[in-house]
Amino acid sequence: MLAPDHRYQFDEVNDILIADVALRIQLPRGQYQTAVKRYHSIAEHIDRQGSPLQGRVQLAYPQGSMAINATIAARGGTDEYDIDGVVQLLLGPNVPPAVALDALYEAVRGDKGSMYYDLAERQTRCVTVNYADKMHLDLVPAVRLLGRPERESTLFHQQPEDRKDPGYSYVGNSWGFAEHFKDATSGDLAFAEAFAGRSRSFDEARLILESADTDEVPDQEQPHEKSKAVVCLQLLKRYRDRRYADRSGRAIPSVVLAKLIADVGQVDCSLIEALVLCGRYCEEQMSFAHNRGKLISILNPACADDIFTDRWPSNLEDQKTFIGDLVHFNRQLKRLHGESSLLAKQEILSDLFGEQPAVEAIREFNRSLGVEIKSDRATHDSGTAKVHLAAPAIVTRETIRPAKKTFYGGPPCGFGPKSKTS
Amino acid sequence: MWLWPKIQDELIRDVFPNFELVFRTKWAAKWEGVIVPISQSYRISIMLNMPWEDESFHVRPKWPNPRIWVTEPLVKPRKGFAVKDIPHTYPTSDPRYPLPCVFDPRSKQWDYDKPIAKDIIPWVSQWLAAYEGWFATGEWTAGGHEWNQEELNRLKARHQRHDQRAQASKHLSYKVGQKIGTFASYPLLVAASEGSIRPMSWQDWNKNSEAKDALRTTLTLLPERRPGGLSP
Repeated sequence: MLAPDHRYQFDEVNDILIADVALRIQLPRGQYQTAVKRYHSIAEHIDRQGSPLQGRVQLAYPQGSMAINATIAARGGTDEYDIDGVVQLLLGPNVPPAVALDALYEAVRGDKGSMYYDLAERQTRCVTVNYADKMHLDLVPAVRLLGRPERESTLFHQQPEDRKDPGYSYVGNSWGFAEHFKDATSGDLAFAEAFAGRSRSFDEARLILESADTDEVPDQEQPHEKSKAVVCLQLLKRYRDRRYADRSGRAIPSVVLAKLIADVGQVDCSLIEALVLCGRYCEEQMSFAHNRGKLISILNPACADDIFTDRWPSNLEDQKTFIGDLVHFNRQLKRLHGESSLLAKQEILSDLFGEQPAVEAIREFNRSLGVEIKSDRATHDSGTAKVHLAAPAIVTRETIRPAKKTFYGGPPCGFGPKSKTS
Repeated sequence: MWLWPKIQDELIRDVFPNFELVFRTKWAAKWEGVIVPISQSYRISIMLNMPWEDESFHVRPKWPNPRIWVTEPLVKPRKGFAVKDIPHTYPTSDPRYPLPCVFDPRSKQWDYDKPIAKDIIPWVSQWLAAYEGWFATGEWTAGGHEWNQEELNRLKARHQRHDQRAQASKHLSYKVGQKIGTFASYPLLVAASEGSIRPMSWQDWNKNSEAKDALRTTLTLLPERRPGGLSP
């Protein structure tokens, strides 16, 4: 929470653990920079001499998670991740969907021998480039709609396996939504700085070797500075990925979660409290529609024709499944926020976000706490003797600072004949 | 100057109002209360026994002082380990209640002139925080005394002697208790024989509120005693 000098302090155990789990599902800084470089490279490649789209690439910009700095390591590990981008093309206003998508596919793929030839994959709404290091770059072709708000465009849908399918066009504005999201959720500079500091320390501790030719990422693309809303979105996406890992069928799109979290907006509370608010709001909104026998409908606030829920939920069963997931999420957060031991918190966090980030976050917490205790720097609240997890900005009469001590007693763990516990 | 139980009690109640005094004599006291080191709350008991001497008897506490029990929830070993493997604890005859050792008695890190409220209780909180971390991860990160082989050998020998004495004492106490009709400790027997307190039995140490309240009333009406050389 905010210290008297207006710095955000991670001084509550659940806040610290949630933040540290979030750090561990982020893209490492090096991978983020690689994504940015590849994104720019492929845009140049599409517009190259001899490309079917030479001279027709008006603009290339990130969309989705990349646009709002909410990319996470997907699919359970830190080695696979998805990046989304829009390629704005100078094509006719009534270009058939298959033509637009195929043109982009051919432009990306290039001739046999091109570095992207075997990496490119034509999808229903985009072209995916599957890099060997498990980065997946989804490129969406778009045709700018003249006379409409900035970057509002025609997008395309056509099944690649069915050449007879004419497909359809639809209107979207992912850039407009990204701007809306940032406007609605940014402003908490204290949190952004505190989280960025924690993130940098984490990266340094991980001793990630930056590639020698890595350029500095422009300020607006700093991967570490995030709002609480972005961190909450990342955590919810991670939870969603885990729940759907073994399910067939489509999961709730990230953009739907992002819109709901943008509705919650910038909140003046701790990170864990913000996550609780976001989880509850998502459950309430979906339940409100479901209880009336309707499917939730989420529109792009920057483009009324852009329906985020056009492909999910496809029926009430889809919706019910995710509502159940949200109920579980909120229940677990309540347990986490309530009275629980570190082991119980580890189990809850493992259930929600995966064992690896949870175990690592608890281990790191234990180490940091141990350092404070061992060095006799720890202070306590009167009344509860709660250990202060951050140095209190102001030492009051209610702060207890005990004298130096050395824990004694007992043999080291494992001394003497072992007996199994019951 | 030593802080006798009456003063310790005032200090504890000032800093930790939820703590209750279970009983108090001129040289001993026991408190119970709840602390929350990180997020989980723990009920602890603290027993203080101070040296005492007057014309009729003396008390020389042998056990490390003060003694601390964690009564709810119990501290447990990690899976595959025994209670005695919980770091920085002393074993007791009741394996449910190993005693956390929160300071080094050899170095006089705590003595009778120091407040329990300012040192012992926060140290217990730190111990419990470290215990939670150890229980979850297997790693005790909060430091403490590191045992060398000589100390381990001495400790092993002491454990064996303690086990033998405990067995013998248990047998003898039971026989004496049967004869006199109470199973209270020696200092309390002396106090009872002088009329300072009524004869006490095992029921006084349970959570029976009537017995506890009656005992508290009895103890606070004790006449002032000033043994030579030791002044409360």
